[in-house]
Amino acid sequence: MTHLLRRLAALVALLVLAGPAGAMDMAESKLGDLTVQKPWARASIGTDRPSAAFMVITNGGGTDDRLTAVTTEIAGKAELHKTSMDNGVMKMREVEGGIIVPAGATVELKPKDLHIMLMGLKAPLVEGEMVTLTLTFEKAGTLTLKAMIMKAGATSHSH
Amino acid sequence: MPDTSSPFRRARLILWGILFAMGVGVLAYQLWLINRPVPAVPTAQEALRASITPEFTLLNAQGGTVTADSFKGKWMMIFFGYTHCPDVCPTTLNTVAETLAELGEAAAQVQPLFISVDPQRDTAQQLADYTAAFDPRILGLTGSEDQIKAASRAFKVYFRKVPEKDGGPDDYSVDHTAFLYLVNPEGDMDAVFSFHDEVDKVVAEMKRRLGQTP
Repeated sequence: MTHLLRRLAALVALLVLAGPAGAMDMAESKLGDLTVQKPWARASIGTDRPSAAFMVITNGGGTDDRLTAVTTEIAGKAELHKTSMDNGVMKMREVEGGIIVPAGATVELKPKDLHIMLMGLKAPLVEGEMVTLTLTFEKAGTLTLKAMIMKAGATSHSH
Repeated sequence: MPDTSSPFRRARLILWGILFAMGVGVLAYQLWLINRPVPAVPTAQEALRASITPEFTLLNAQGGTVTADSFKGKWMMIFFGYTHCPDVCPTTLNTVAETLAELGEAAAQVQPLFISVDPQRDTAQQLADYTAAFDPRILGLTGSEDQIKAASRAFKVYFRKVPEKDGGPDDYSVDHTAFLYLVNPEGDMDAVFSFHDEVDKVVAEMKRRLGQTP
């Protein structure tokens, strides 16, 4: 009888813990007309090196908006960058004025393209853990979400 | 009645025969003109490959000196980058790691090398820590400023430090060419893959060279 009760208690505990954990696997967050999907970051290699975060932002509204800043506790500095190729040379530059998310459009932050650069890491980004990011949009305001940390060489949100 | 006997008829037949043969000849010539192979125009990558002398003298993780000759007998897959690179280098090193995984046992014939264009920050140990995060088979090489410059010249690699705004002397990114260079086991340049080539393409090209069906 106690054995069964213990099993039941374990099951209940599992469900209680799994519940919020499931909700926290925020594959999608909304702020006004904006939807942010699949936020993810790359594991850092040591804390001296920068890491990068990526996501998909959709503006379902009728007005253009702009991602102007990102802050996170794990990094001293977070900037918006874009990788581009200029005559075979790879360059990475800060996006001045922020990343525009036009009305009705979807903007993808992904490897070899737009990304959030996380610098001055205070702690390593460990694969399998989550990192909290606060995004500031010019019109919509701020949105805090959790991004899944993938391996250092990951090229997408899914395995 | 006019005389339609043999000589005229034969002459007419021969004439028609000649005309027919000429018609066939003209047709064949036209077909040949349309279908002959177009002379190959070298692509930018092919021209780049042809201009490279695959040589270098650099330092490995143990601080020992290695040259391109040290790896003869294997296919060298070389990428120039730096460890403080958050996007380009992890993406390409992942391509290399995935290629090795796809090649299975044949990967033993490949020697992936990651040459640093940032010798100021990338010590041998830094490189070893970095490449291990992608695949333990990737060997990181660094060297003195002169050794790195010489290797870059040989591979026609361009790189340039770009200081970060409001940063210290160690805060900079490095613009760099991001090609993946393939050197065959005899030490000659074999191919140049572009940064935009996906894993599938690199794997297929490697399988062809390693005698596997893609």
